[in-house]
Amino acid sequence: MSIPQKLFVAVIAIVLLCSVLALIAWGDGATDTPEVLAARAQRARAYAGRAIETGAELYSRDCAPCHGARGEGVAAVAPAIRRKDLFDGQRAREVRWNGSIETFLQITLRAGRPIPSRPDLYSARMPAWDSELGGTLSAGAIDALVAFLLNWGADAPVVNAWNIVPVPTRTPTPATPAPGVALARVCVGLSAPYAGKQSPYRLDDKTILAQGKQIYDDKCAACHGASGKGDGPAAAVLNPRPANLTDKNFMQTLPVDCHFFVIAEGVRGTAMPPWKSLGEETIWKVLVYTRSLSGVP
Amino acid sequence: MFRRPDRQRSRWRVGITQFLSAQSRARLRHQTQQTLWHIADHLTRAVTAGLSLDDVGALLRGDAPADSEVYDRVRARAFWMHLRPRAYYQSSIKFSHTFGFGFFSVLFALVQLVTGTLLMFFYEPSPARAYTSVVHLVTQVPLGQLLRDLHYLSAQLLLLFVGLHLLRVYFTGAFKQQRRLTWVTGVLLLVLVWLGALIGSRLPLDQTVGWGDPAAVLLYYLLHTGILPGAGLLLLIVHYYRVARVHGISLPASEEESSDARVREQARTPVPYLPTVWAREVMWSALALAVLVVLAAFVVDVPLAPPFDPARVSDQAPWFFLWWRGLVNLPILSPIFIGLRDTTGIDLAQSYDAVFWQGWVMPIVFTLFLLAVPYLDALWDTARQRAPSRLGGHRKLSIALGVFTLGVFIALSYVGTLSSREPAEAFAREFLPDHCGHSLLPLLPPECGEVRRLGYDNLPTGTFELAPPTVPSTDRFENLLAKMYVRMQTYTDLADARGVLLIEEWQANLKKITLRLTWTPRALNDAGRFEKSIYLHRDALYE
Repeated sequence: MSIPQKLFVAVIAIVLLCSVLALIAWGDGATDTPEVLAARAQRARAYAGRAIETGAELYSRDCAPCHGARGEGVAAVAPAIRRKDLFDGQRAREVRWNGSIETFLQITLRAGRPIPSRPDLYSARMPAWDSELGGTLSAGAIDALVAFLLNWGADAPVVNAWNIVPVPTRTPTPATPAPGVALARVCVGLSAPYAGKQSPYRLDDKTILAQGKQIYDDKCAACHGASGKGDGPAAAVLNPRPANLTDKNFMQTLPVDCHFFVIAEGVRGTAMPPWKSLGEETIWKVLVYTRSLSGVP
Repeated sequence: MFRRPDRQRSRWRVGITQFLSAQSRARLRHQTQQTLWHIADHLTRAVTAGLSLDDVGALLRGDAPADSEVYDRVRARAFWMHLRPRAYYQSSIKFSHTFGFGFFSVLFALVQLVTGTLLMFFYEPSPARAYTSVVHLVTQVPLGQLLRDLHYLSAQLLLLFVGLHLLRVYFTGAFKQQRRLTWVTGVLLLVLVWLGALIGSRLPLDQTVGWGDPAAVLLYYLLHTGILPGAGLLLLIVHYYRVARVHGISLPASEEESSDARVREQARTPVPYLPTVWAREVMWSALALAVLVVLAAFVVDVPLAPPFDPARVSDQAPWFFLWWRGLVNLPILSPIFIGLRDTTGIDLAQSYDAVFWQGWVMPIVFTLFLLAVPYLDALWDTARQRAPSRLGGHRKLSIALGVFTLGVFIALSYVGTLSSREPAEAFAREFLPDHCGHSLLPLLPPECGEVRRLGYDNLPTGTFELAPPTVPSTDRFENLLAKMYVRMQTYTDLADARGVLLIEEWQANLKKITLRLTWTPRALNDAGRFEKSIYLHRDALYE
């Protein structure tokens, strides 16, 4: 190759190099066009999402043993943390915290609770998790955990973790069991708006049954099993075990309104999550199908 | 009557030249051209340290310069050109002889210096801020991800080329006689580059590295950005000066030691650095940088794993560290120590620590041996009472040793990739690794696992059995289940296993993916089941 040819190749390579750099710069911040800002925001969201993933993993390892797999708390051990007052600022105000919810969670995770809030209710003491304070988590890991917890904020249920005022206010129309059968524990004192709810669908409606089965297979079968016996693939690790929906005796203790309540709000202390987000219609459909498994009306 | 202003102005302009004769007009034009030419010529001479516009024109046309001493003047005036030799021997710069390994090493070291300096503006060397500052760099800083990719890629290339350079020098015998000290500085440079890459991979304080104390991040930072590059620069000056001014690049042994005087003479035909070799270097630099930028921009995104977690020490290693893991994991010295105790009573085996003896002592001893290679080689020649020769035929033992050592490193690296995990866990990690991690080969993008790559929206919630493929499907999720099933069958211990992928909505925009394997227990302590979960966020972008 002659010298001019070499220099020509070099010029081509440099032009290529510069145009790639210019291309990237154009899409990444030499300008502040809406597209560039959107791309940058998307990248930031990607890392925020990854932080939530990391937080979920740390939560299941370090927090779930005391606070429950989904933050529902463990009776007599540690309070629920997926609860509304933690994310709407009420709890922070109660303990006179002036910062943001994020810093409230952060400081609680880092330093723990030197003195338990309610040793009479919960036996476990929150330890300090920050490795600089004698814990096992790095600063980045704590940030990831906070991101995970905050992701509960939008749809955290109202839970009275401190048991100061009983939340369910008794209503004059309690759930009605079949004559001669005791109510399931979760149904005692069922309050508005659940008490007395009636299914909009007939329990033998073929179309509804088919639709309900589809939802059931998608959402419920993992734990309750394809046939409803409480033996789904996820059931083995759960304690208490998922309910056997084909058990006539059990289903008789669960009147329709209470059954709706259980699906909508979940059952505390178990792996049954709240399904409210599915919407009332969907819950009724899956309820109709579920009841057909035992034949209890 | 009013006149239009533009017409008036044009009349006025014509009017000025009307004062000049045709001769004067020509002179004015000529003088203007002359002045402009002088300015351009002057600028060119300033930038090129002495080349006139005519010289540059001749260079671009491929003609000889009008003045035969023009390039000597450039060499005398320009510091950077002065660093380079006046000329190279024709055969020493054959591409098939050196492959430019040393040249590319210096080029990528310069890229390291530039990109590393820029990264220092954004990195905060404290345990609490290090990880966050890297996240900020790649999410908020314009071109931040590209900067990180360039630094990472050129580090990989630097290490690769320094290693290849050492192999080339060893196998062509280019470390003998005057080049012995140059070899020593080169080996030290390799060690510095290796340490620099290793410590650099620790700085983001993420989970991809399982060694070291995050609290010592300031120490790592100072080593990586100050001490190692500083020491490297000093050694590089010695190394380069010896190559450029003391002994030059080696000639191919077959030509240097040819019995034909004409061949020997021909090999030493001088090729001037300016402009011949220079043009070559410009071309290769531009091509290498273009490849680097294209790779960084479109192919490789540097992994940033979740933040460091002392409870979850990574057992992953970058490709250049694999041999070390292999070395530490093999029972190499412990049998020797036990034999020593049994025969002589000296008991070192009692306090045997594989990381110390095999991870520190053995590499250091090997490095010392590597440093001594040219001197041992000379001793060997003296002992055999023969003149030092670089010809392959005269260096059979030396070459055999080199091939053997290279083989040992490759074998150790392979051992380093093996895991002592149970087959179920090994299988689970193939598809659901803890995080995106190093690929086993240099320059490849990080591997995040196929489940993550499928993406949040393509993973339906529910319980899915890993099933043998039935009909060809276009559904990526079904294909993944089939692929996982096929892969599971390749593990002999999992041949009868049942695999289930359980995908749950775990939180807003967060899915939990659990791989559950059950099999008939084979032994008392065999649980017969294994479970591993990962979480996937809708925005996480692993695709």
